[in-house]
Amino acid sequence: MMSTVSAEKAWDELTLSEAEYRRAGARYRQRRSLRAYLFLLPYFIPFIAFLLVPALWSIWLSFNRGGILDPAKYVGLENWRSIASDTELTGAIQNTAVYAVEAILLVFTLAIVLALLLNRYRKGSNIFKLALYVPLLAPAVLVGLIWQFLTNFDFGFINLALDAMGFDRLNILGSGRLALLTIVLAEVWRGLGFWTLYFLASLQNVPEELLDAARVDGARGVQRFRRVTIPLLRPMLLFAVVIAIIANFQVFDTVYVLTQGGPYESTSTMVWFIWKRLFQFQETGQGYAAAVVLLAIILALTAISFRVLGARRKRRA
Amino acid sequence: MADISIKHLVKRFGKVEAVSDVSLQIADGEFLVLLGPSGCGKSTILRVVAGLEDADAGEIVIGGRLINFIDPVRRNVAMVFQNYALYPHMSVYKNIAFPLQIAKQSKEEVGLAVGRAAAMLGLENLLQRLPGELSGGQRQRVALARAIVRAPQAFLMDEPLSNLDAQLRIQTRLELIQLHQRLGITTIYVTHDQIEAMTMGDRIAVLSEGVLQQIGTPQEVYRRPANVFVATFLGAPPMNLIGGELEWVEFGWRFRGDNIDVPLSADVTSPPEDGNPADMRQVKLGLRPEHLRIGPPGETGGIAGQVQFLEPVGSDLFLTVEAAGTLLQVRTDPDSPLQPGENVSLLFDPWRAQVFGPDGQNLRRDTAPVESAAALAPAAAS
Ligand SMILES: Nc1ncnc2c1ncn2[C@@H]1O[C@H](COP(=O)(O)OP(=O)(O)OP(=O)(O)O)[C@@H](O)[C@H]1O
Ligand SMILES: [Mg+2]
Repeated sequence: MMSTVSAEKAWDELTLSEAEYRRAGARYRQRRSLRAYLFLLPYFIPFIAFLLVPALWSIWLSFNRGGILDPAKYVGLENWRSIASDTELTGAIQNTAVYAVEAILLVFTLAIVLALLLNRYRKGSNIFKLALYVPLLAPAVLVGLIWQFLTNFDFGFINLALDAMGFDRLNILGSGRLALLTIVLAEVWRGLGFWTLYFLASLQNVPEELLDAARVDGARGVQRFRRVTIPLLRPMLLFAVVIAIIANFQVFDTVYVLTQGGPYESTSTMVWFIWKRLFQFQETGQGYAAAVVLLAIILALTAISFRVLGARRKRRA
Repeated sequence: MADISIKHLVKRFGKVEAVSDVSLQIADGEFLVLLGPSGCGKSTILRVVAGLEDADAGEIVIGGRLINFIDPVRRNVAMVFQNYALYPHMSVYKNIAFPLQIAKQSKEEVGLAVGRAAAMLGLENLLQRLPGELSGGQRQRVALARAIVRAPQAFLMDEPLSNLDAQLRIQTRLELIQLHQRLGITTIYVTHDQIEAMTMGDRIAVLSEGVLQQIGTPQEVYRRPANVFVATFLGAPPMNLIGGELEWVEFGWRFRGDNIDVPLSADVTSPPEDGNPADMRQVKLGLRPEHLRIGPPGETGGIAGQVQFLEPVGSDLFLTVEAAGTLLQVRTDPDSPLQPGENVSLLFDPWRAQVFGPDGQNLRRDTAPVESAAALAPAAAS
């Protein structure tokens, strides 16, 4: 290009060959990711020991008879065949799905509304936050007992109230639909505080200037919420949905305390089914098979959530 | 303190090539301005030098040390971010003090340095505020203070004055020039403000769409633009361009076009070896508005034209003159009695004219400053 630089080496000549450059770049990026893996290590060890290995172990045991107290005996697909034709399991899956959809929709709706109110009216909001959060501190069994007292036929608060107003008493936990609804309400009541605070924190992360900009652009309250707040909350919403699906598909303790899966299996959920097979009927193989089904359902729903709510493409700011 | 070499830098974002084979050599203590329109890759170059983005190809050498594969934390450069990047949870004082506290300087030293930086940028009364409580220009000054509070190997400044009002901008510009003279720290300064580029830079590198167009002193870049892009990007109003052909007539060049036939000096490009080469048929004559003079109509060697509009801007009067089949901008005396519709002829000193070939490159041989190979526009090379 220029004659003046030909005498000595041009200053802009590269010092590394292409291969060296690639290697150095790879090493540089490796060092960076190595650091990340080191930080992840303390998490991965218990993850492998207490989650991955048991999960794989369960899959193996679903093809066996026994395995907890007595030695496992390989039986092929026998467990799978028997749970496939078990109407209690299909019923449990259905109950779990109905329960989870109702509980998640209800608790998220209430939590978001409460969070919006708390975000808007700050004065005295701490008392409300505390009140909302307290149920979460109570053990699930206690929550179950509270709701048992509330719904008791003879002296439950709800029936006393119905009586006083001149209505017939309801056998709440004795009728399938109402019993499942009671479980929904108990769990919603328990989770509401957590989700309210969660969504409140998310809302407070939405930059005020974006809402200002939307205001000036003429977006009214609901429009602002739908077109600015919700999209910005997407990652938080994704996390919430995934966590809620995982938690609610494993609903167990309220069922155990309130209904024991009754009446007539109408509140039998998947974990209740699994628990019964494992600890009541000594049908461990069937229990493990059902647990694998539950795992598959949860994984599928999580994948769908990521698909629907996940970020389209990560962009750096 | 150190020199910086950027060698054949390429940076892509997906399919977009933000920086294409840019090479820049910045001497120790030099103040280099990166100038170019929005989206031409200025910030990207700074971010690669700072280590915030990985280069796809090419090397960055600071003080003789290849730093491509060195963590940004250890590059010892200070950067003023285009969007300020102030820590929202820290007061102005803490923001400015941050780099010093990280470097574990004593409290007294930090206080002194912060005080000096704050005084220089007129921030003394804002030290206890949070960034959220400042105006855009104030935030920008805090960002600048945070960078200049220490003495790094190099300063990387991304449009640090863009949000200041005219007065404050001139004042801060002077402060920065003085600071640079005092400390002599190598600086890469990004701007799209020509005045800043012309007044501050030891040299200016002009970029367009990720490609280096020209590098040289402000005078070189202004007087001898390497191509049509640089010619029209620098100058307000920009250089006038007139289409036509170049012809060698009796030991000199003539430019002929629509209603224009003027002699040029012999050095606008090298004389033809035999006959008139075909690529002289479609050239552009470039004339700066301030190099055109108004004469009475019919003057020999002038371009006949008619005044269309007047734009008085106080210190100057800009005329739009219809001539040579196009509209030309002419800078003239604000007290000129000219009126729209008047016929005039436009005169110029032949040696001031530039001629650009069909590929847009300046035909003059000495366009590129000799000391720098990077001066050649990579568009023409390879
Ligand atoms: N993270 C990114 N992802 C994709 N494209 C990007 C990214 N950052 C920059 N670009 C693109 O790279 C090009 C150069 O961007 P850059 O920010 O360097 O421009 P700039 O010269 O600093 O412009 P301005 O003067 O407006 O600040 C632009 O076309 C831009 O759209
Ligand atoms: Mg930029």
